[in-house]
Amino acid sequence: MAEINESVYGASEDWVDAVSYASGADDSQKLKYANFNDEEFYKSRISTAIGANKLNLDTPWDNSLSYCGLGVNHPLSNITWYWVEGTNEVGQTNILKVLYQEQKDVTNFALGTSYSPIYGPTGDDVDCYRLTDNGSNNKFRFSRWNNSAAFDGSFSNYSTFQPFTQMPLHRVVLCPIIVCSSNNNDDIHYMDLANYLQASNKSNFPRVRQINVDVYVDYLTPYEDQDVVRPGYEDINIDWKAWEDEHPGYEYRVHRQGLGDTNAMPILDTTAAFDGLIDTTGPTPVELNNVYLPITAGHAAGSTGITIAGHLFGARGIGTGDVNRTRVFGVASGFGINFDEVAHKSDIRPDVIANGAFLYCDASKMSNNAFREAVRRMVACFGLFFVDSHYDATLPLDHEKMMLGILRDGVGNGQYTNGVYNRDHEQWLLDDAHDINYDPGAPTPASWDPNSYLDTMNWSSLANFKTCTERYNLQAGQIDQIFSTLWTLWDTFDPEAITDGSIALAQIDLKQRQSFLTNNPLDCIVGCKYFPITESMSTGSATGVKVGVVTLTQPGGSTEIQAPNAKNSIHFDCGRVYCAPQYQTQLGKPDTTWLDQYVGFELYLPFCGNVKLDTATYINKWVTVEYDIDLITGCCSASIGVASSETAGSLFMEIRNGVCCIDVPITGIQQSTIESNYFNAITNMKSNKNSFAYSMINNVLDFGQNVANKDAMGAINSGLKTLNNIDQRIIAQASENYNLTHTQLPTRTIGTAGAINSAECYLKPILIVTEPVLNIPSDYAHTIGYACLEYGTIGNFKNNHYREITNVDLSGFTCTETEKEMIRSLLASGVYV
Amino acid sequence: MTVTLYKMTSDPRCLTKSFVQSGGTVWTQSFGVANTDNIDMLNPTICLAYSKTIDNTNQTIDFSANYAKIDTFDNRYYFIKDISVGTGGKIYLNLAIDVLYTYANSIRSAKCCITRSEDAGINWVPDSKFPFNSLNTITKGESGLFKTPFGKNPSSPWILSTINDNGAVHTTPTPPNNNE
Repeated sequence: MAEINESVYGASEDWVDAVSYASGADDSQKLKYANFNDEEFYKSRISTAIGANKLNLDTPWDNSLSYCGLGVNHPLSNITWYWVEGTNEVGQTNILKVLYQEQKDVTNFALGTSYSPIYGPTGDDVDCYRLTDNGSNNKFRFSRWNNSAAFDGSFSNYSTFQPFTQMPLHRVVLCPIIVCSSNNNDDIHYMDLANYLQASNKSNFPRVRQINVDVYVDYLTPYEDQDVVRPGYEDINIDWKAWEDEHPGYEYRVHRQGLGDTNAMPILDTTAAFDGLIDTTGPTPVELNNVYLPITAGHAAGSTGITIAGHLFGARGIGTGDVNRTRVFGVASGFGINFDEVAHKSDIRPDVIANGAFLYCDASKMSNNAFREAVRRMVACFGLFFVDSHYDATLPLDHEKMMLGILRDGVGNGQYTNGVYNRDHEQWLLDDAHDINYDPGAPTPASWDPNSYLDTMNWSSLANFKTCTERYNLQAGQIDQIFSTLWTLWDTFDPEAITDGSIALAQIDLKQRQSFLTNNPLDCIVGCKYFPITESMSTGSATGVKVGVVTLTQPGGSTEIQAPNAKNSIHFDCGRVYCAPQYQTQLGKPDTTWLDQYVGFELYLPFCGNVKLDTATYINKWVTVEYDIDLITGCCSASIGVASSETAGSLFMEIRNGVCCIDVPITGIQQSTIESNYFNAITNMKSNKNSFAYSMINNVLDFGQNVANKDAMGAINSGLKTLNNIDQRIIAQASENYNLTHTQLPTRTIGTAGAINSAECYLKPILIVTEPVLNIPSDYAHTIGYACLEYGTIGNFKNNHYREITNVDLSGFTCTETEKEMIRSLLASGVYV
Repeated sequence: MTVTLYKMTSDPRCLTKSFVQSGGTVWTQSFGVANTDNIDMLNPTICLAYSKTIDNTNQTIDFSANYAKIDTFDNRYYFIKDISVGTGGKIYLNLAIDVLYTYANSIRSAKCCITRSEDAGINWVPDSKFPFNSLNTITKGESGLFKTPFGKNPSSPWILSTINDNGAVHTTPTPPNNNE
C-alpha cells in the first residue's frame, strides 16, 4: 500500500467528505479530500496545503498525492507547448510556433476536483511549472493544477484543486468523452466514445478537438422512475444523437456495482460528477461544466480574438485579444491520436492562424478500431475501471463491457482487460486507489513490459517521413493529358524556319528558354503508377503538376494540369468477420459441435493471396483484416488479426505482403537529344552559309587578280576552284539541310510495365469456410454410439443403451481378478447397460 | 452341483438379459452334474446325463438352451458355447462365464467414465468413427462482410512522381523573445 502521508494530508479520520453523504454511509466507501489545515475554511485545497507549508513547491506532485503514474505514451507525458506571437518575414502576425516539446517517462497523477478555479497562480506564486530561460523565468510558467494561465491578468495566488485522499476503486468508473466538430464549422459536439463511433457521428464530426474523461462515482438517476427504456448501445441501428435529443436531460450517471457489495454502498444524496485536475468552467460553447478530465488537446473557447483556448495546463485564450493572458498553451497527443491539424489558418502559410483557430486530430484518417483503441489506452493509463458508453457505467465490474486499466508498478501504459479478466489485477482486490503500489518518488521510471497481458496491436503512421520527389494524384482523364503533353511540350521549333534562315540562332539559345532541371523532361519523371484504390490517395489541394521547373499544361492550351499531392501511404481497416462455429446443437439431435474442429477457415486477400487460418485460434472469434498500402512503392501489407469480440482490440497473427500497383511506362520525346541535334545541324548550316559566301568572294577575287595579271592559267584554275567550291558547298548545304529536316525524333521510355492480372482479380477480402458434411446412419447411435466424455454411476444412465465405458471402479466386487479384467474389457469394448 | 439351463435372447453385451418365458415364468431346466472333476469355474465343461426322471417323467435336455447358471459357483451365469454328446448318454456343455449378468448389480453401482454413448446430446468430443460423405465449401464475405480499399473503377488512380523545384527552403521562424 502506498503510504498516505498523513503528515501532509492530516489524519485520515479528519479527511473531508467530498460530497454530502447520507447518514450512516460506510466511511470506507466515501470519496474524501485531504484536510491540510483544519483551521482553514477550505481545508482541502492545494493553496491551503501550500499556505500551511504542507506541500513543496519545487515538487508539484507530492509523493503522497499521486495514486498512479501515466506512462511514456500517455498524452499527458507528451505535451507540445505552442506559442502564438510575432511577425514572420513577410509581415504576417499571429504566428503559431512550437515552443517546447515535453516528453516524460512517467507523469505522476492524482485525481481530484476543482469546482471554482477561476484564476490560477501568477508571478512567483504557487504551483507553477517553470520553464527556465537563463534565469529569467518569469515569463514561462505552466500550472499543472488548473487551466488558468500563469500570466493571467486577474491576479489570484491560490489553487482550488482538491485531491482525493480516499477514492474507493470499485465505485469509480471512467468513460471517455469526445469533443468534436465538423469540417465546415466550429460547432462543438461532445459524446461518449461508443456514441462517437456509431452511425455517422465520426464522419460528420471528424475534427476531434479534445478527449476527456467523464468520471462516474455514484448513484444519480433523476429519470429512474420514468418509463424510459434505454436501448443497448450495441444496437447499431440506434442513432444515439437522435435518441439523446429525444430524451433531453436523460441522466444515467450511475455506478453502484462493486465487489459483491452492492448493498453496502451508500447512496450519495447529491450530484456525484467530478472533474479532474483541470477545471473546464471556462467560456465553452457546450458548457462542459465540472464534468470532465481533459486528457488531450484544448479546444476553442469562443469566437473573439485568436482563440486557441486550451483547457490544458495553463492554457487559456491567446492572441491579440488576450494581451494580458499567456500566449502559451499545451497540447497533448499520444497513442496515435495527434492534434497536429490547424483549423483557421489565415492563408497558405501553415504557421499563421486566424480568429477562432484551433488544433485538432482528424479522426477521419483513423479507422474506428484504431481510434477506439487509442482512446481506450489513454483512459486505461489511469488504472481505474472504465467503459466506452456512459450507459454501461452501471455494469458489474467483471462484465464484458467493463474494462480495467492495467498498472505495472503503479504505472499505466495503456494495457487493459475486460470482463472476468478484470479479476486478475490488483485493483480488483484493493479497496482504495491509494492502496495501489505506486511510488511517485521513485528515481527511475517504473518498468513496462510492452508485451504484457492481453495487449493488442495496431498500425500507426510513421512520423517525420519525407520523400524528395513530388507525387501527384491524378484523375483518370488527366493521365491522358500528361501522356500527350510529354509529346507536344517542346514542339516549338519550326525546322523549316530554321533551315530557311527565318529563325535566328539566338532564338534557340537554351539559356533564353525555360528548361527542365536536366533539360530532359523524362529525366524529371520518376515513375507513374496505377492504383486500383477507391479510397482517397490525395492530400491537400490541387496544384499545377510540375516537371522540373515547368508546370505542365493541357495539350493545345495554356491551362495547367492540376492535381493534389499523393499521400505516402494509406491505411484501411477492412473490418472483421465472425468465424462462426458451423455445427450447432439442435434439440433432439446429436450434438455435433465437436465437428467444428474440422472446419477450415481461409482468407482471400486481394494482392496478398490466400491464407489458411488456424481453426483453433479463430473459431468463435473475429478475424480482422487491415491493409497498409505504401503509395510510393505500391507495396501493400495485409495484417490478419484475431479479436475476442466485435469491438475488442485485435492481435496480429500474420502479415502478408503484396504489390497492388501497376507500373506504367511513360514514353516521350528525348528533349536533350533532339535539341542537341537541332543545335548542331543549325550551327553547321550557318557555318556553311558563312564559309560558302566567304570562299566564293575569295575565289572571285583570285579570279579577278589572275585576269588582271593576265595569268590565263591562274584565272582558269581560280575559276575551276570556284566552281569546285560552289559544288562542294552546295553538297554540304544540302547535307546539313537534310540533317536538319530529317532529324529523327528521339524518344525515351521511363519505367517498365507492371502486370495487371492481380488488379483484375477479385478485389475484396473473403473469408472462405470449409466444413465437412455429415452422413449419420440411422442406427449409428445404437450400434456405435456418439463419442462423449461423461462420468458417473453406470446405473444412473439410461437403461439398455449402447455405451463404451472405461476406467470403471470395481471396488466392492467379490469376483476373481480374471473376471474383473473381463468386466473392464467388456465394458470398454461396448455394452448395453 | 446343479446346472440350471435357460434360453437367453439378449445380445451377449447386454447387462440386462432377457429369457424365454414358459407359462408366465422363465423357462428353465435343472440337472445334476455327473462329473465334477477338473472343472474350470470361468470356462467349465460339465457332464450331464442325457435324460433324467422327474416326477416319473423322463425328461431330456432341451438343446435350444443357450445359457446356464451353476449354483455351486456362487450362482454364476454362463453362455453355453457348445454342446456335445458323449458315450453312455452323457452330454457335455462347454460354458463361458457371463460376467456382465453375473455382476450386473455391482456393475450398475460402479463409477465410470463413458466414452461412447447412444444418447444424443452428450457427445461433445471429437468422434473419430463419424462418417463423412464429402467436403463442401461455403464462401462467406460475398455479402459485404469485409470492406475493401480496392476497386475496379477508381476516380483518381494515378500517381505520377516527378522531380521539381517545389522543395524550396523556407526561412525558419525565429523563436519567441524571452524578454517580452
